Amino acid sequence: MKIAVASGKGGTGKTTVAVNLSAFSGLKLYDFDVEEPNARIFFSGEERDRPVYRPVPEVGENCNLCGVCKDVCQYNAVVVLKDRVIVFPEICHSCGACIYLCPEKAMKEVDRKIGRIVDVFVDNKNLLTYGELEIGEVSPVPVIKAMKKEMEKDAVIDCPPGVSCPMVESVKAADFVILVAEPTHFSFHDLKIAADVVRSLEKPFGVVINKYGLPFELEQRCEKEGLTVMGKIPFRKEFAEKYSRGMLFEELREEFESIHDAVRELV
Amino acid sequence: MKIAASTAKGGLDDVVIEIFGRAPCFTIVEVDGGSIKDVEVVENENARASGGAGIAAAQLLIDKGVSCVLTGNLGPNAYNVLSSAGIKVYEASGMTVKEAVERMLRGELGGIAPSGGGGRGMGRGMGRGMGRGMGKGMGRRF
Repeated sequence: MKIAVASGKGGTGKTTVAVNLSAFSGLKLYDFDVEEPNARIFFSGEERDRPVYRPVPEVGENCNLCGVCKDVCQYNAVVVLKDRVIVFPEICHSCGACIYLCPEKAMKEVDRKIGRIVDVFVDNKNLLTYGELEIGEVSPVPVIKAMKKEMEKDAVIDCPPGVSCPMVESVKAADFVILVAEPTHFSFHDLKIAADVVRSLEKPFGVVINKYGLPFELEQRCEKEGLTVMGKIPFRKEFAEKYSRGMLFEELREEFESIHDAVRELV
Repeated sequence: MKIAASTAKGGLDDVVIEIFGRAPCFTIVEVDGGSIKDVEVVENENARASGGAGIAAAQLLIDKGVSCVLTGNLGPNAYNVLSSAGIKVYEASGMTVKEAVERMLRGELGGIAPSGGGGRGMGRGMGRGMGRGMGKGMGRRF
């Protein structure tokens, strides 16, 4: 079973929930937030990494400067001069259209390193795998896709914030989605959007409220919106302290175990 | 010789604007023997492109057979494409197109260095430099 932890709004507690859920359920943790992979801060162990590539075009010698590549490129990544073709690999989205449609078959795919996948071993056990995107890359999606390919069948996925491609790509891998929200107008606003996205992906989902107790009736509002609240992390100083020290919320073990049980029943 | 100026509406009396890749249009002035022979206004279809607008604008001007560009600021990608094609770029923002062309012909205009990440070739990491350099809220729309 794969459980994705997403939120819409950033900073609501995705990583907090994902790390604790992984620890107390025994499901391996995957950090798909490859633009800012920070779940690793909770782990100290040995890291082993491997590169991730994506294909970009390279122009061969039999190019006759016809310009088809430039015309089909939707991202303006190819320029045709009088005497040569210039490719901007950092702008290229690896769609392959220029290579496929080149009448002279003058273009070929070459690998461009766009990031890495890192396994973190604690006492020889691979508890976390995170991805990391190279600075300047256009999209985290290819790194997320590479991680999905080799993912085990039981996993907790720490998703990127927002509701755009990286989040969608991450959530698509899951059997169940936990949306983490905090009791604020901003979080509730984005939670509704995230819920719409997850519904349209036809994924079962529930809400975990972080900082429960802040003066905002999130629970009642969730009820009105038809959103099921599956768990709560109380708004308490000790949790903030533990989080800032990279410690697990041992006193909430039962809460996370019950979330895990509830997900198992629903999937 | 064809000279292109980045403009908002186009025409000899319009003003050369500071932006290049996302300029609404280019006024292309054909000059022969030191005098203006023809004026063409070309819409810049890539002004609203999600990325690579400067590259596409440079391609447009290359395809139009332009040999000089009058503008204010341009990013390193656009600059590299233009200079690879042998096109010279001059600073002329704020002048009318007519004035800018005349001053260019008299050799009174200075060249432009690409904003942000200048001189670093075509490697990666230049996107950020672009936003910083263009200033005035023009580079960061996406």
